[in-house]
Order: sequence, then structure tokens, then C-alpha cells
Amino acid sequence: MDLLRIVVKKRAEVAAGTEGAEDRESLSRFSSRVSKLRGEGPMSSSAEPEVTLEVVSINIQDIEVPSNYARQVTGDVSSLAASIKTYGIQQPIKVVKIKGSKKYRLVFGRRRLEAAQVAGFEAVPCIVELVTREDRMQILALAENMHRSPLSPLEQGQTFEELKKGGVTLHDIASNLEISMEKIKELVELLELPEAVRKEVAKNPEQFSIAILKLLRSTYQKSQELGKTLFNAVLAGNVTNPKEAQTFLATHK
Amino acid sequence: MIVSVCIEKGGTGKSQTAVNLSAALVKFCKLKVLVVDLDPQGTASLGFGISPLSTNTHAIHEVLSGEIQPHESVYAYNESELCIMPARHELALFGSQEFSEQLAGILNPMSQVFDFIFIDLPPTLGNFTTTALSLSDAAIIPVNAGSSVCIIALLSQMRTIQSIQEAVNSKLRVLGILGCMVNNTRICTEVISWMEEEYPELLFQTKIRHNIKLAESLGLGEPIFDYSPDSYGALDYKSLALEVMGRVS
Repeated sequence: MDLLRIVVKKRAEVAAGTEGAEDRESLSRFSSRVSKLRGEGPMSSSAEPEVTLEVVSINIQDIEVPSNYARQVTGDVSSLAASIKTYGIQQPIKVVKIKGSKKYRLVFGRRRLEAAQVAGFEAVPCIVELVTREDRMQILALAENMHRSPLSPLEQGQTFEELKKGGVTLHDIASNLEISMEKIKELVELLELPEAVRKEVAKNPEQFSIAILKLLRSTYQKSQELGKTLFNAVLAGNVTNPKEAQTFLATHK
Repeated sequence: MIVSVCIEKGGTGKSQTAVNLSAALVKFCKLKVLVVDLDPQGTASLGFGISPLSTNTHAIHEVLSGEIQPHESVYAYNESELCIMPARHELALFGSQEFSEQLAGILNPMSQVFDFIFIDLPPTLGNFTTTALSLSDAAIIPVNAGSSVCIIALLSQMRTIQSIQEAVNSKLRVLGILGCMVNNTRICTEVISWMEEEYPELLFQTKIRHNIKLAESLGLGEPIFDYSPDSYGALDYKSLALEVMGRVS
């Protein structure tokens, strides 16, 4: 046992010496490697088996809708609420645990969540997302919502813009969602429209097609005055398509 | 040459390496190799078909306690030049007593007979590990590349080896660090790349891929070259044997 004692004592000396510091540096290099894997849950390609997704019932009051949620306008949820009342929620919504809190944050399923509330439900079936990386989550939310009742062009542009700010490249967004880079750029550019206009558009999204919005943007850039005139005409229903808008612009120069 | 196979963590491929590397050295390099099982769990013994639960064979604790002569506990695997000195649970008693002289009494005469002696060790820092390392020429450290915990075990093992070098055995060297259970997961890639950067000289080029045949063969008591000679496991341990030969010559 003397040998073991000697070695244990010696190891303490080694740890206190330069080797101890070298080990710590070596370990921190390892940690920075492994930290890259954080958030790469079962979605990433690996030989590991996928984690089974468990559906849990979560109190509606414990689910927060993030302020940057893609779908800002939920529209009329009464028919969905009626269906939920009769059949329940067929498809669980997705949430993520908020760190250091008992609450959850919505990833997608805002309409179902609101409809469940209207239907008088206290809790909703949820899948708790294991991926916690912010940009990944926004893509998830977007991927889900893109194929539902479509997001308005401005909502799409807004979300792309936020992804961009979070460090996601346009190329990544495009390949993840299978849409062209040009289309994404176009949608992001729509955010250059004056805030007042964007607010108004959010209230009546169906009146403003992408083509009209693009035209509005370029008109605003040429002349605030002319932009405003065209915007009011669209809002009033006097201009309903790009062709009418072109004619309108030609007569109002 | 006396080589300890050690790391202060379980399930990383120590016994698997002791068994299959020795088998490869005998088969492809025509050497005489003895595996000394110095783990009371007896996993390496099991790898040669000697159950640590059976009492049909003499085991190493009987040699250490002086009941029998060393050669009486040496068993040839399939009448080849590959031999095993098996272990049973009774060996555990030596975990709490000095037995350097007794172990040297086994290793010294045996190293006259065998080209390589591999000592399979328990997964902890303790009397077995320190005693074996104090009498070894070299150490091989198998790392489970799929485990980030193994990094700590590796650093810990390197410190133990350094302590032993400085305190009692200046001839001890690390023969190599071996990546085991390597697959295509991201964590494996990171563990391997980290080892490549931190230990460019020590890490073996050969990686032991995750291979189900290796896991099966160990419990069934046959080295991989008998159990599944065409498996990745057999291929990997063969190239490890050649790399080891390159390093010792």
C-alpha cells in the first residue's frame, strides 16, 4: 500500500505543477469542441437512435408565446375552437422548456393554442422540443408554419430578418425551407416599407399581395408622397392588382 | 516487453484490447504473448474462454500467495503461443496489500519466455494499477471515443503514469493511446480530433471501430480472429498489431 500512497501523493504534486494548468487548458479545448454539439439534438445526423417524442399535457397558462413568433395574426379561430371542443387537439403543439423556470415557450401551434383557450381547455397536448438552439427553433417554427395557412409576406420577411440577425445565412434559410435566395431577399426588403404601412398591412394581409407590396416599396423609395397615395388607394380597394397599380401610378405622376 | 493496458474508467475496451491485440501479435507477427489478468472481474480471462466464476483452473491469486508456481497458472489458448494467466474474485484481496515482489516474481521469469506480456487492469486508480505500472515497460491506454467522460479518465491516467515515472519507474512510457468504439457520431469525431491535437505522437493511427462482433466474441471466449476473422474488429486489431510492432522496433 506504500506504493499507492506514494503515487497518490505524487499525483497531487503533478496537479499543482505546470501539468495541472496544461490539463486544464487541454480540457477547455475539449469543452469548446463539445459545446459545438449543444443543441444538436436528435435532428442532427448521427448513428444514435432518435429519441421517442413523448406527448405531455401542459397547462395553457404555463405556455408563453414569444414576441418574435412568426404568426402575428391568428385570424378567426372559432371554427378551430369548435372542432377542438368536439374532437380535442388532434396534433400536439410544440413547446420548449424555459431555462430556470417552470414555464414553456411556444415553438409552433399558436392557432391551436388560442383555439384551445377559446374552447375552454385548461391544458393542451404538447411535445417538448429537445433542440434549444435559438436559430434552429425559429427554423422549426417557420418550417411548420410555412405549410399551414400561409404567413403574410411581411411576417415571413420579419422572421427571415430575425434569423439573419441571429447569424443564420440566407443560404441556410433557403436550403432549409427549399425556397430561393431571391425570394427571401425580396421578402426581407419589404421591411423597408414605413412602419405605419406595415402595421396597416398586418391588419388586412389579404389585400396586399407580394407584387403590390414590392411596388409600394419601390414607389415609397422614389417618393413618400406618391407611395402614400398608392397605399391609400389599395387600402380603399381602388387598386387590387399590380396592373391597376401601374395604371394608377401612370396617372398620378 | 511488459505492457499494462490501463485507463481509470470502465467499459472503454481494455480487456478487448488485451485479448485481441495479443491474439493478433501471435497470429500475424509469430510472437509469444502472455496476457496476465490483474482485474478481479476476470474479463480478459473470459475473453479466452476461462470463466472467472469457475474453479477449474489455477488463477493468479494462487501464484501471488505462493501456493503454486507461476507456470502452473499459465494456460495456452488453443495450444498456440498465446497464453493467459487468469483471474478470479479472490484476487481482490491483493487490492489492499503490497504485492510488488510477488508480481515481479511472475513477470521476471515470464518475460524470459514471452515476447510480450500484456497486463489487463481494473478501471480504477488502486493497488493493482500502481503495482503493474511500476513493473511495466509501457502502457497502452484505450479510450472509448464515444464518451466525453473518457477524456477526464485519459488525463487522469496520464497523470498517474507520470507520477509513477517520477517516483518509482523511470523506464515506463506510453506506447500509445487507442481510440476504441469509434463510430460516425459527432461526439466521436470531436473526441478523436481532440486526441489528435493533444497527443499527436501517442494516438495510434489505427482506430478500433465500434463492432458488434468484438462485443460478442469477448463474452463467448474467443479472440476476434477465431470468432469472426472477416469482421472490422479483426481488421482493426490486425492493423493495431502492425502499428505496435512499428513502435517497439
